[in-house]
Amino acid sequence: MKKLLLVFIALALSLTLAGCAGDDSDDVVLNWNIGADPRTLDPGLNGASDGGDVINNTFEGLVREKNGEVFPGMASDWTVSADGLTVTFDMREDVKWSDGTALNADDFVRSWLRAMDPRNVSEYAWIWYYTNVVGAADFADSASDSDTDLDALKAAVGIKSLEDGTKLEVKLTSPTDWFISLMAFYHFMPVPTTATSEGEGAWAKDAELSISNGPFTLSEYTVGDSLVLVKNDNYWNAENVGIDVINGYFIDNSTTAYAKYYAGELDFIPSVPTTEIPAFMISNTEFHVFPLLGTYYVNFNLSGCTDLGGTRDIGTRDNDIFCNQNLRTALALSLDRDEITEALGAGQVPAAGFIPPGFADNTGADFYDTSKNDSDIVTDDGAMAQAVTLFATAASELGMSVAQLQAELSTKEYAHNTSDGHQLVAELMQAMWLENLGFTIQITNEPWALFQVSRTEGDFDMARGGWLTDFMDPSGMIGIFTPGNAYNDPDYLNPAFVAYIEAAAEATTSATHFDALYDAHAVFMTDMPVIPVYHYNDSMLVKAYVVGWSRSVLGGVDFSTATIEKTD
Amino acid sequence: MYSYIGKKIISSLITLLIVITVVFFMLRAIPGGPFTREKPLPEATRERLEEAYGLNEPIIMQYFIYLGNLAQGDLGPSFNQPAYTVNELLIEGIPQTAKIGGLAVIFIISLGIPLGVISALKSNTSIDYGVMIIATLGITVPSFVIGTLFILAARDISWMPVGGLDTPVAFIGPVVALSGYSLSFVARLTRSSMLEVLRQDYIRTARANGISEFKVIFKHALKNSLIPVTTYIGPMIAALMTGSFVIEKIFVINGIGKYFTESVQAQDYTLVIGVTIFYAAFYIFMVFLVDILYSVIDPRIKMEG
Repeated sequence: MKKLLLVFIALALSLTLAGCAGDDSDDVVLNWNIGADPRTLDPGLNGASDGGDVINNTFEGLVREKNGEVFPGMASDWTVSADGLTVTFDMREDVKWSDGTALNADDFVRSWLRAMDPRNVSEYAWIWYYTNVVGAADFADSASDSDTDLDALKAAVGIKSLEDGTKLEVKLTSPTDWFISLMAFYHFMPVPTTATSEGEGAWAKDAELSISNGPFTLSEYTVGDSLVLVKNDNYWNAENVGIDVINGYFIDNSTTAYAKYYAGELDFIPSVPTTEIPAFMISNTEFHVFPLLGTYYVNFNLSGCTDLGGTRDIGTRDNDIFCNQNLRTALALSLDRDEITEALGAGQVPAAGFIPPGFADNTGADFYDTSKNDSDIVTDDGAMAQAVTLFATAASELGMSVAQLQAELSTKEYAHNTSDGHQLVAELMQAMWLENLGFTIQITNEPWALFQVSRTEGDFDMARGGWLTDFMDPSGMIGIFTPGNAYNDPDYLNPAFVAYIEAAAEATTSATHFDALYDAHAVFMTDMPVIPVYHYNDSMLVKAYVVGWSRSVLGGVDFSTATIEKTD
Repeated sequence: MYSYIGKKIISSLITLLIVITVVFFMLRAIPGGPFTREKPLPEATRERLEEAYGLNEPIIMQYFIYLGNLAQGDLGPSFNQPAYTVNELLIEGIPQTAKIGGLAVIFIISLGIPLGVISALKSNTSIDYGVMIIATLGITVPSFVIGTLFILAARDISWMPVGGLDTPVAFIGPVVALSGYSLSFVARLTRSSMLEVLRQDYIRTARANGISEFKVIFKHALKNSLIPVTTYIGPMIAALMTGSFVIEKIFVINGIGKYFTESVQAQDYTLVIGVTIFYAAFYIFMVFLVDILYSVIDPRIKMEG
């Protein structure tokens, strides 16, 4: 027994010691917690933010976007025609893949057609619908299984490589202001000719097969554990890449990740234990908060409401009271959003409108600032008196006494998917409605998969909602509340709103585009089919000695020009 | 003996088949699927993905296709890690899990049984009380608390890494946290079983016959008091060797324990069944081994099918 024990211990030790041959050289090394094991690292096939973070460092699109600002990437310059319908990119000269082979506009044409091809089943192919590229949506959306049909659609897509691949020409169906910044998104990055869709891009996780064009290349991948990126010497801007090796870990326990960060084993972590955040907000300069282009809201079920809701079949569910506009507005006004975001404690922005900060309009003003007064919502408790008045008006319009309306609302449910954060928001709203309007809403929760089905099918009174957009235009936010959109959970249908959204899409100038969007937002906030609660944000902890890193608004940490300045 | 083993193998295979069947159909009954996303995929994309993984076939067909592949040792592709097969994920994870689990088993047996014996021999003394207080703590304090305490301590102890298995020192935290409950349980079980045996007539007879106290304890009493302990240890080994979700998460160990929970959440059908088969087979094997051990410890226990 004793011998066996010794053998076992020796075996265990030898196995572990073998794994720690140290990095000896003077390499600049960054230890980064990615947080999760990415599903794929193939730019065209990826659909998740963890994969996007890695891809943003291993690949590069026509442009690179840092903190909302667009910089040239694989394209050195670009021109947009006067009518806004043709975009021509000048390819950077002498750019190479990490294996040393040349990269030009042909690679982009091939990669984009691959990414939108339904036969390759990219989870993000639907984004082509919002690019307005001629023929792209028809190809990406096609349900056909016939190769002849699909190849015909493919041939009709308006992208072309010109002048021996030195120029890339894109034809658009309407002027699309956000098209250039969107080109920084991972879906639009090129893939090498060796890329296949097998295993959803398994090649990109295999150090032997992975070829990329960004500041770093993959050198190791251990499923469930970690990956290693090394500087790509063939990257056009390699001289400004300050990090030689990035060790990326897939640690999803935020307490452990934080302990490793604290002990100096990690330099960059994306998630901070929620209980620690408030302390950081006040004191720690290593804590960074970024706004995200998204909003957390409450859906009303409007199916069947006259002039307001669609025709979704919700069975015997009685949602009549929610068809009353004054009631919806009263519920929206009686929330103290400052208190909710304070309780959440991670620097979220209280939402007075539906559009988060970060979308510049045609005049350069932030859409958020201009549109946040479209309703009477204030972010603190300043609208409570008005809420009480509207509540009484609503009661009389519904032919009830205030007490009857309170009793009726106390039988209604607010549903959220199971999570501590959602529960906290639900309980805060419940308490605020009780205090200000005198009713206790019932709170229910379901696991995500079930909740999604209930919400889509209209099996709710009020339900949690959340939306993050993927391109720099407000239409990506309120545009989801149009008939037929899979994310129109309230089943909102106001012809005036739909007309404005359509006008915005067909607009030929930025001014008319934004005018229509402002009008649409005003109608939306008057109708109040959803109650905006707060705008999402993202937070991370970064050691002070990591400098020069940035983040793209559309998601994706950027280490392309980062370096480490340690004094020791 | 051989017919007993033969019968055991057949009944084990039937048990496994039942487990696979129940898990297979229960998983499909859960709403959603492996392609349920925070931002739902367009209908057409989801259908094409399901087609690519054969999820569009009638469920009964999928079941028989799965069994056919399984018969050839193929557990299928992982839905959540499409670049890998379930076989690859298990081969990658099992050694890590087994290292921690194996050390924990050794730790529990080599410490738990002696502690139990000492406690029984010194029953109602301060030694006994001391051991039992610690054992009660071990049972009541959950492993994630012990684990988190280790992680918090490691933050400030320079020679102790925070998680991982890169140095011998790194094994202390996960092994202790993983062993805590079972170690305490084994100590308590050994103690009570030993006390029970020590009260038996044959022990009194042995002592009356002038057999040395050492021989009485270790030859006669301990052997018999280990029967209930063996019953517990068999399945315990199966559980420890297949990993703990909590321990692997806290200590960042790339084993298979995490898959038991993660694969269910992600509805990664093939991975759920893969880890279930592994655990079930291990469990059945250990129970079988315990049966054989009984007859070694106490020849009066016959192996009959």
